[in-house]
Amino acid sequence: MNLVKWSKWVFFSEIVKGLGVTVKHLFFAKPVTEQYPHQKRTLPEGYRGVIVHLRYDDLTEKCVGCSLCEAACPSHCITVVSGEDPHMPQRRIAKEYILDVTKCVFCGFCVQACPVDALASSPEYEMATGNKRSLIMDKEAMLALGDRYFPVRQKRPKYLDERLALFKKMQRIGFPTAKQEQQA
Amino acid sequence: MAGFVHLTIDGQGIEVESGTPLIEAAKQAGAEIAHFCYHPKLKPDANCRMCLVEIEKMPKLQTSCSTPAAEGMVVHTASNRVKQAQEGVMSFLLGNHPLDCPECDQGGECQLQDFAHQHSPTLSPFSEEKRVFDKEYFGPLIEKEMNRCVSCLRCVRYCDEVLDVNALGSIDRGTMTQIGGFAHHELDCEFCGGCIQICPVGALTSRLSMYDYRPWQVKKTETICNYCGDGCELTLESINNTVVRTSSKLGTGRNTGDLCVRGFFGYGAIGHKDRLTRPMIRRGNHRLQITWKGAVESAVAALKKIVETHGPGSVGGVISAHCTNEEIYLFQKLLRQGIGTPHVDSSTRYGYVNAITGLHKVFGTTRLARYEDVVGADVLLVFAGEMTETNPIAALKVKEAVRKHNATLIAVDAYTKQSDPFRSHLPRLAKYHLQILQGAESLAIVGLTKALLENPVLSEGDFSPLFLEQVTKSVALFSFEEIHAATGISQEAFSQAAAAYAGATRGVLIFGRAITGSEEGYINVVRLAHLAILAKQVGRPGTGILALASENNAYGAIAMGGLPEYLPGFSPANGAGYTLPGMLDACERGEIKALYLVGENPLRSLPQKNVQAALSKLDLLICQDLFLSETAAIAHVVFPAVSFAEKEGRFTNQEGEVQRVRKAVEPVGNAKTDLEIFSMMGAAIASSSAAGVPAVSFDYANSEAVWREIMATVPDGFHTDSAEAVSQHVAVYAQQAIELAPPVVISKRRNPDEFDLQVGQALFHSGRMSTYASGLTTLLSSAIVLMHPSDSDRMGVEEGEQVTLRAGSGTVCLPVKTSLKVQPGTLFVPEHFSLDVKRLLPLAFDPTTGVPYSTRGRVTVSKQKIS
Ligand code: SF4
Ligand code: SF4
Ligand code: SF4
Ligand code: SF4
Ligand code: SF4
Ligand code: FES
Repeated sequence: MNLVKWSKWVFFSEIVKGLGVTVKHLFFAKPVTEQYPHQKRTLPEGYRGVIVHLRYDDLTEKCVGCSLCEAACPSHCITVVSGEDPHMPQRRIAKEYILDVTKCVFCGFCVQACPVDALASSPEYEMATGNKRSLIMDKEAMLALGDRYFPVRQKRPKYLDERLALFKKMQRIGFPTAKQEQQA
Repeated sequence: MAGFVHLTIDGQGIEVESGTPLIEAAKQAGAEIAHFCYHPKLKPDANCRMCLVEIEKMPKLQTSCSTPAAEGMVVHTASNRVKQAQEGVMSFLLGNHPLDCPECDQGGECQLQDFAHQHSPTLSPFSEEKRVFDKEYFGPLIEKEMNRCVSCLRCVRYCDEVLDVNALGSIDRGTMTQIGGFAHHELDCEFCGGCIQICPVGALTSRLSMYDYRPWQVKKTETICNYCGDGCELTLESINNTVVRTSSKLGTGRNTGDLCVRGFFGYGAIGHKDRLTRPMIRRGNHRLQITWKGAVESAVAALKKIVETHGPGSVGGVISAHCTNEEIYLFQKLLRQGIGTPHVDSSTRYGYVNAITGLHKVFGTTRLARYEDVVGADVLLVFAGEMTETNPIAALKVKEAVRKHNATLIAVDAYTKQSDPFRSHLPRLAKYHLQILQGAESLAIVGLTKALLENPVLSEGDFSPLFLEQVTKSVALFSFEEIHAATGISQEAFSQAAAAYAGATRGVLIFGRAITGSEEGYINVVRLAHLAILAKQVGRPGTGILALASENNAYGAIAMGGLPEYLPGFSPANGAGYTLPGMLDACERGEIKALYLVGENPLRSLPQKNVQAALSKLDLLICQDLFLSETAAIAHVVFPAVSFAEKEGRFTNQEGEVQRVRKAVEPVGNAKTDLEIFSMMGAAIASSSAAGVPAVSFDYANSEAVWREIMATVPDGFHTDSAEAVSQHVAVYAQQAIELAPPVVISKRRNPDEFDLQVGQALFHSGRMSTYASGLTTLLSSAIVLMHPSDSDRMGVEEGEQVTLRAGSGTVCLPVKTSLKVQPGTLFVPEHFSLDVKRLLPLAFDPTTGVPYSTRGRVTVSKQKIS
């Protein structure tokens, strides 16, 4: 026993073993480095990249401006300014929706919080830019990103069809929006 | 009566006052019972069945909102039986609910949300379609979403029990029960917003702030409303320096959580786009924007020159009673000590000063009754038929006394007993309504006093013989026949009312602008004080007199020395300072060369007087205001000031209650608080004053520093005067000779075209500031003339048609609105819009206090010809 140990020690067997691994990788293993940006990895299921806004199949935006995402966000990077749709009485929308990607930690809490599934974590991760301002996204930018990554859209639920029909009818019969009323 | 009972709630023994509903008792024991229809302000209705509890020895579950706590009860609020029952009720409520919380303005502060989280089963047993209501336009300010309604009827009951308006009712039946104005009419009510505040869900919400906020986003600032003297506590809710909503927390403040339309919908003026944001000076015909430093320097340089050539007495100043105590104190300090002029006055000169000086003379104090006394009174004598319009929350206290506690209301005013639909009206609640002719207040008081004195039972008492003799003499001038002819009230009616008032255990006398702001104001206040003394309804706990103020800090303005009669703390001022009308006269004579107006706009408030000519004679006119008022437009220097929402300080309401005002939003633009402006002016004046003259310090860190100085200056702070002190002062007063001019008899109208015209406050507005609030202008945005339907029928004018009012050479055309509450032969025009209508009215001045009276007159009315 001692003899075996002694011979291993004398002939640097550990070093030889180590070198063996090196040689194996040097000549026989396939390279793991990907040639980004020429090559891209397939992302795993459920990858959480930049948050985007979604639309229904008829291209109406899903967001109803409820600010729940703003409340859920742990890094306070969402600002929702809600209001009545100036073109449709009674309809609540996000007049402004601002996402500060520089602060976002991609936790996806906002996606979970949204009651109408208007948000999604997109696979977008290539946000490096020389202009930090471009990382503060408004609703249009987020919708555009959403269009890019989520071309298959949810059908607008029936109850929303009814509501939209109601809003349109109210608009037709001249139901005043609250804000028009004030300016008058 | 108020005994205590012991009971056990969820194993915990507690002691509560007997009569307490179980739901409140449970709250005291730390158990919140889910409820919808229960509200502490309302009588229990027990219609929602949510608050069921199990009481041992009772076979069925009981509604805890309507079951009073009784001795020895053993109550379980969370047993399985209770839980099951509550889940059942909840699933019925949710069965029809649209679950649109994300879009609903109530989301986040909704009782249905909260209780559903605790009590709803996860699955609904219903698979039927939900009921859907057709969307209806419910009016400009209130949004109705009946799909969300849980039919608790709180709104209906609030509007009836608390407001006495009855604008809401439940219409239709079964699941389709909904809340509405009667017969699906558009809502036309007092718009107090109470139903919005009391609705547990989002069925009634404010259209004015629709979708502008989520409850957790707003910054809440508790402050005091600035639209009238009631001194309501108001929560301003702001996002990003913009006020998006107002509310008032249940049970807080003098208003205990109720608001009126001005408080609830009047916040639009705060951030209005026409607000002044930079100081301006006039150069020739141009106004130039300038820095603060430049503006203050040029104002002080001009002031100094005037003081050097004409003496300090050539400067005068008037401050609005909308400013805080600290600001008014500093303003009078600036003028009295900084400049050395006695000419300081405030907008209380338009009437409230009559109340304070009159009551102060007789009682040595003016804090004679609080709202608690009003609510607890058994007889109320009210000389303010317009109280609902001028002081809506104080009027709620009267309504509470009458409707909840069965007090007897004696109303003396020039309105009919009828009210317009969906409006409350105090005379309607009156047991004795003395409907007098317009302008006959003084004779009505004389009549009441006379009736009191002639009743041997009532006039008993240890009054000083001198007092009794003088009062008797002062009323002996007129016989009851003459009084009847002049007021329209018979001797019998006077006797009944006088007997009721004098027979009260706790009688409270209330008077408002009809007394203080109208002819003989000062004398009438003294007459009323005598009446209260004779009826023995003052100087005892629970009795007293409440003078209504139309400005939020009218009392404070006087207590802070914002008038020539008093220094801070009601100590009499020596030297003859001019009152506001006196100052204008002195301007015209060339005696006053510089005038400093803070929030005051005499061009508007006294259009009959030749204010324009007086002001144009000035060498220096400084205006400090929120908006470019008519007067500010001709000023040499304009300082932009800030509204009540942008400053810290204190207001004193009409009861004499000092309350904190807190800053909710930052000042707009470069505007500064009045306090900062006075400090800057004071410092500039002090630094430029000649060497050797001890300079007065105007160096204050904030309003607290000023308040500390006030508390140190005013001899005994703001003590509440004890009943004994009042009685003692009355005893001293009764030994003095009293000189009262005899009451004036108003001549009779001669022909049917002639009308009595009253200009006054409308419910939806207060002064000028409210006309910038979009919520309020939606309700009333231009002048109208209220006319009794019998008159409009007689003249053949329709609602909305223009009529011409004529007095002397002046004419004004206004659209007619019919109203049942104005007497036939009388017209009412809100004062907030039309200047011309004021020009039709004669202007008179009070001989004692100099108050300008210009709210009543006589006009002839003709139908406008269509040409
Ligand atoms: S992913 Fe997380 S951090 Fe980013 S916006 Fe959503 S909630 Fe905020
Ligand atoms: S994205 Fe969703 S959660 Fe956020 S405001 Fe819109 S609807 Fe509400
Ligand atoms: S008066 Fe109008 S706003 Fe006030 S509770 Fe009644 S219905 Fe509501
Ligand atoms: S509108 Fe609101 S307060 Fe009125 S019954 Fe419905 S839920 Fe109750
Ligand atoms: S205007 Fe008067 S009654 Fe109305 S909320 Fe303000 S203080 Fe109260
Ligand atoms: S709260 Fe008791 S029944 Fe509605």
